[in-house]
Amino acid sequence: MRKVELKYVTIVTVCFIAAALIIMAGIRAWMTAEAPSAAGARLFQQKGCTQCHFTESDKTKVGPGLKGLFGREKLPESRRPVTSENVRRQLVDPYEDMPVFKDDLTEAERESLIEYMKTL
Amino acid sequence: MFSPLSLILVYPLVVILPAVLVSILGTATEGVVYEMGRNAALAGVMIILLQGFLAARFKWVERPFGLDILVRFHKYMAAAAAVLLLLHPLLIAAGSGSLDLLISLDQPWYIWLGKITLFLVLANVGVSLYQRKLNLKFEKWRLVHDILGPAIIVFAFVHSITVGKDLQQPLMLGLWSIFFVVAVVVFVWHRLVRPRLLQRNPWQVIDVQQEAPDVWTVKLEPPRGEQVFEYLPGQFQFITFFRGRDLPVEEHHWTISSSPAEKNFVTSTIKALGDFTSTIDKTRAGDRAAVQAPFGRFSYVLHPEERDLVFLAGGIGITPLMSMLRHMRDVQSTHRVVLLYGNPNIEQAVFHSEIKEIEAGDHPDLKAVDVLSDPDDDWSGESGFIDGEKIVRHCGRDLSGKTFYVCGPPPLVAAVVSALDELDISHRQIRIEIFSFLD
Repeated sequence: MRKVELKYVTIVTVCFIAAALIIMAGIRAWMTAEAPSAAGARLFQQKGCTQCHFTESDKTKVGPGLKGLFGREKLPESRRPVTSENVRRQLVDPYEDMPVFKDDLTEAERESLIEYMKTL
Repeated sequence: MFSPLSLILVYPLVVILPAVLVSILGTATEGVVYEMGRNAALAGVMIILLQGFLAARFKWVERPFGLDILVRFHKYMAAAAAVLLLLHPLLIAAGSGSLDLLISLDQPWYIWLGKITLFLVLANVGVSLYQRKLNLKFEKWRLVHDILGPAIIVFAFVHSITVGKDLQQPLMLGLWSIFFVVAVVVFVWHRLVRPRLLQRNPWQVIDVQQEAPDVWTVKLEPPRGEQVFEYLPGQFQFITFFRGRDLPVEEHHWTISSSPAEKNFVTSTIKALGDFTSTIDKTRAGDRAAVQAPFGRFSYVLHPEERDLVFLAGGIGITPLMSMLRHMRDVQSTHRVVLLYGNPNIEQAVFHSEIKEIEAGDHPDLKAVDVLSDPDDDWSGESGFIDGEKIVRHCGRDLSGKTFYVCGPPPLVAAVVSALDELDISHRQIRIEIFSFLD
């Protein structure tokens, strides 16, 4: 094999690898994709939110119940208007004693949680 | 023995295997961009884990391609791995919608380990690709490479299994660990175990002969009771001389200049070109040497159908061609060979008298032409450099059935290949020895 042929082989090999990585990323995203609200429901369980919040009631457990949260005018504790942005703010920089979910959650995960809370 | 095509096809499949498996076995996704970032890391690390196979001189990998080609592929793929690993944090950050991964100092230790690994990869690739520009001597570069290589493998493995949720699944963890262990074993074998085994069974220098100013032939005898390894004329060997007397102990590769018909010794003809080779004249009969050989595919024996050969050599580049000429003489070959041999003057033409003797004989049918760039006043032969005009003058206008073997300093090789291009010689008719792994 000559140097020139080696360059062609290398280019084809690298292009094949790059294409395969992109295609596999697409396949995985497609195979495991779930609605943001469903992902949020899963995260709500995984991250232990249920330990402090009811989802089927607006009564306080440790923190306030979240049923119908986005149907209310104010957030239960901070009394800020109920908007996606204020719920996100409550997750990363909580009012009062709620644990901080800044590093534990990616932005996409926070978005999923908010979408889930909208369904309650 | 594996065919070149099968190895070329298997390599990228092995590289993408972990990314394919985690894509199939994964249970959740963070989105396409995030997955591309994860896949880039898996493939980048796999390329690094496979690097040892390309450089470790395994015969089953080397024979189909030649070590020079493999070492170049090793370099190109190192650059590809560096790009993939550089893309990894960028795509992960883009996919997760936060720049914290890239800019925040408040990160867990395993993220910092990943960043350190990436820095080491870039440093290792940088010093390897720009070794000459950095004026880094080969032995120092090798020391850096021998430290950074294993560190990168270990750090990448620890980072990947601590941060990568997919790699914590038993199947993936098992497979990933096997790849890692194999990579470590290959490195330990290549850089630590095999050199010691070769040193324990040393060859012996039996003669050192000056051939021309600054050029010596070192003759080596195999260990007692052993014969010289089977090799093809034109192949090369790695030699580590153990000479004592405060002389450096370094491994270098040199073409074998002797004929494979000689079963009791091999010779390498060495020009004093650098720090190490400038000590070659201090080598003495009785000195010991570790020898690993043979390597390379620059040999007429691999192409028995080609009968009309043109050897175009410059300076010490004559050595593989000399091995071929000696072999043709010894096996009574009927090949037709035209040798154009470029040197500054006739005193520096290595093997001059032996080439003339072979030319006077019948095997091979040799026509040898010296081309001198700085000849004495009484020189009546070819002057200047090897060029298209001289090639046509001595080989004839019809060059279609001939095969050209080119070996010499890089500028000569570049000039000769350019001349052959202008003569419409197909690349398939040209065989080049890329002897320096750095070019």
